Amino acid sequence: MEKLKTEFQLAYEGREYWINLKERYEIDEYCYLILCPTDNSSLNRIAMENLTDFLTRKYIRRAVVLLTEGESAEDYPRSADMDIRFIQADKKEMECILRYYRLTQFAKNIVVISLEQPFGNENIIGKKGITLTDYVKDAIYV
Amino acid sequence: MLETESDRILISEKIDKAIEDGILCGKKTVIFGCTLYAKYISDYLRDKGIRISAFIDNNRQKVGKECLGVSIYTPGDYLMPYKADIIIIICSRYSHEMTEQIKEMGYSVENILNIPVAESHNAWGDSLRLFQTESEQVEAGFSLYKRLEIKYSENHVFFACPYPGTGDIYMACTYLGGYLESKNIKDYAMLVIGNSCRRTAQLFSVAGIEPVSSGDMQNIIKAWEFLGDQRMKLKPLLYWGWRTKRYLYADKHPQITFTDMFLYDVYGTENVAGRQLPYRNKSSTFARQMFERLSLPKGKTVIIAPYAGSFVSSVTTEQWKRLADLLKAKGYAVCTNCHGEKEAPIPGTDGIIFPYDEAVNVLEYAGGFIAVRSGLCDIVSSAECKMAVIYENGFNASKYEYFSLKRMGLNMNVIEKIYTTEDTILKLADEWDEM
Repeated sequence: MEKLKTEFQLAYEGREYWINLKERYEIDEYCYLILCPTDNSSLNRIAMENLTDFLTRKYIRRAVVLLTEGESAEDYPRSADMDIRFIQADKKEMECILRYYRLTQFAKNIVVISLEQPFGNENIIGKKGITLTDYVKDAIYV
Repeated sequence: MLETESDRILISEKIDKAIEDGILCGKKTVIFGCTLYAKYISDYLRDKGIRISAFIDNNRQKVGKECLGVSIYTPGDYLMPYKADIIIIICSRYSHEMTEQIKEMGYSVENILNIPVAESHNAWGDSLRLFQTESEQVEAGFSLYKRLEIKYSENHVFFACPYPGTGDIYMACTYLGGYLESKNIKDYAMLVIGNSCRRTAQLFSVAGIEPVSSGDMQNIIKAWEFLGDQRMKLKPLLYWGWRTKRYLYADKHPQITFTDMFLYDVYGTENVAGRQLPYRNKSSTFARQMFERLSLPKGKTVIIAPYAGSFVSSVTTEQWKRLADLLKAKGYAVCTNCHGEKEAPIPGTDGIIFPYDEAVNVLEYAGGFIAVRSGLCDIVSSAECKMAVIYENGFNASKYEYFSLKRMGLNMNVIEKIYTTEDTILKLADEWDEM
């Protein structure tokens, strides 16, 4: 049988990266890990604009947002009421943590801000009045 | 997620302990969240002689309706102002926010019975042991995939239908032909679970149908989830119940139907012209022979289908019996579509069973069909006969907005009713002659 060594190695590196993040930023079950693997600025902006409402709905006050290198935390709104930290991950780190997420639910609260990753599509957006904001609120932040 | 055996044991133990400790004694019992767990808890409490006072749910679409004869309220409407004599049962992956929401209304943990079922407890973690377990599942799934490649070919694309629901596989097959054409896929096989799914796929002349166990199905989808398109030519035909896949939560968007989710989300196409109808042998004599054997009149028989498949129905056997009696009084023969030990004919009617590929012929020969919404309704939706379909609200129910045959474009002449009380059912008899 073909070996799956490369994929498992990526996931393993993703686990190491996660353990490091978890300890450094004290990510527990009362904190959300928000992964933003794309440089889709309009999607990321809508997601960040709705993050506070989402966390409020979940009765959670802390989140760690992982951005790609191309995205800057300065571009997004901040909330004075929430402890939201923005961290930049390089391409490899983001790839590895996503691969690890594809293998297992490594933390209780994980949200991936993407239409396609790990799995999804944008086909329903624009159909029957569904907007990108609807999708962020009712498909991503659930 | 459906409750598992370990969840059922946990729920039973928690409730038994609460009864033993007197926690429920003299209290109004409320269940937070209309879910399958809630149904199981409600049934278990009923068997212990405890009646649910209310269901509470944050979903406005459910509020104001009834489930199992019990009203559904918003948490605020029912719990405010504070009442000391209430116990709120929470059994959900969202237990944290539910608990906090209740505490904001002045309630304490003494008012809450939290049942930490699998999906809310220990369902996540970053241990190396879990890494290893999940990796083994991926390897098992990939190994199965390689065996299928050997059996078929390396050029084959495999479509995986993981849900045993007849309606799911019906929709998957309805648009499969259009998808194959749009992607220029010639060689393919479909993986299904169980005979019911296999028979449904056969209606659409699917080329290669490969029955697999539910465990194998989980493994192969797990492998694909991890490895992706680069390593596996596999397409899961599902949009819900998939950890890493997002889909629009349709409860908040009632304009979205079951058809839309398959078109846009599963297949990613608007190619409605590609919709395929199931195979039908119009010259078959099966229906005539069956009706003659059972002495059922052509055109004056009503087939009732009270069993909801993977849905949960609140319509009682007694209500179906009353409907059957009213129809018989009007001169119709009435029989029940049922099979297996769990599905008995409605009292006063005979059981009738027919293969899926004869279902449309049978209904047209009978003349009438009344059913709670289930996958069977998809299969017979093209039948030209009097047809009434009942939709329900509540636990894992067949919601009208999402599953309406008219809204899905499957049958524009069907009479559709949303079940609220017994009258919904009995009025069908009054209206039947005029339909």
